[in-house]
Amino acid sequence: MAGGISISNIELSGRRRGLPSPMDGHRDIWFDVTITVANPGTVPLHVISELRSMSYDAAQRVLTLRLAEAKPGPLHENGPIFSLPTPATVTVKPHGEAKITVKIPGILKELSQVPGRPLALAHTDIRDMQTIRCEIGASEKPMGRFERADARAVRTRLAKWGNTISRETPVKPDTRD
Amino acid sequence: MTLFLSKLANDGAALVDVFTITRCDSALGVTAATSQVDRITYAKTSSGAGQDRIEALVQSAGNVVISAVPNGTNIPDGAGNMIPINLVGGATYPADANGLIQVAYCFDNPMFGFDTAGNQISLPRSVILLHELSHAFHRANGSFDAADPEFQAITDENRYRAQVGLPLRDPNNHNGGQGPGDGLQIPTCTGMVPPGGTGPTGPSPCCSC
Ligand SMILES: [Zn+2]
Repeated sequence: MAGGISISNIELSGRRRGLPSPMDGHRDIWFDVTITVANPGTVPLHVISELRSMSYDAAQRVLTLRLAEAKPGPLHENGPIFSLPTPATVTVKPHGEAKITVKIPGILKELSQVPGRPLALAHTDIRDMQTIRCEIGASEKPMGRFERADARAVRTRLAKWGNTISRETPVKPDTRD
Repeated sequence: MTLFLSKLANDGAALVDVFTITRCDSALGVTAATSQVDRITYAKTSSGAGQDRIEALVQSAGNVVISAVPNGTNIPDGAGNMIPINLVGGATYPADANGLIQVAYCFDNPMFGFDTAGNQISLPRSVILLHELSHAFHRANGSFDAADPEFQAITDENRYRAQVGLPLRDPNNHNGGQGPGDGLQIPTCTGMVPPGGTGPTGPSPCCSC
């Protein structure tokens, strides 16, 4: 229950267009997803307020947005080096609510490793999605600052922080180009 | 044996940032190598941390490919997850079975790190690229500090920051986030023709309907 936090609403915006690309004038299509979280309890709750990962199940047409950190897993030999920032959070007052908005692209771009070649860039049109699933991490404890932590260390510490809740909602995206 | 720009990604943005790192040294060149990559050529005509690093990469025994990608692009994190590149700024993948080292970075999202006083300071896009190229350089040259790769890369990054007059980052603090920080940009250099106003204080990907 993450100290009583709940997701009371998930709302998908109309289609938005990015500013023209300085390279070719192309304008990407984006949507806003606004997640309303409610705190019915008597103590403030700290809630992750940024997208930490996302995935699209094309067969089920489910877009999963994770405002929660992945569990620490074994790193593959060919895994990258990167610094994973401490997640941004918002504080939800007792008996209060907060709206968290994340931007999602209409065309999901994903890089993948192909030995001997540059990273491949795949495009997936996710505007046929029928369901958005949101996962959000929350805790009564502030997250603290993880100054010297690498990605695995951040995830190891966050695995002991709070709980993750989820909710799904049906959606009908604007499919205009 | 050199530095390549991936044409599968935004090679124009990557070229602008490499050019910025060399402080607009007109000796920088680019030639077609394959259908997927262009090759950077460079023998510096001026010195500085940026020029030195690009020249060293071009002359390196390793092959490094740069992929510049926009906000919202997901990358594999090496632990089975896909994460938005705008969350981390960039990532460097170790040499694959064919010896290719891959650098991916986000060229259009404002990001910040921290100075030693804990203040948020900007991470302009060429700084993010330089940082990732530091990881790649040390990987390619056998000088990679596996015990503390971020300290090593931030130390290199600070040499470039000093060259262009940006405040230095705390090499003991790897943290950061999305946002403009102090908003400081890399000073433009003569001859540079940026592809537009993207960058730490440039337009975000959203929104107009
Ligand atoms: Zn790094």
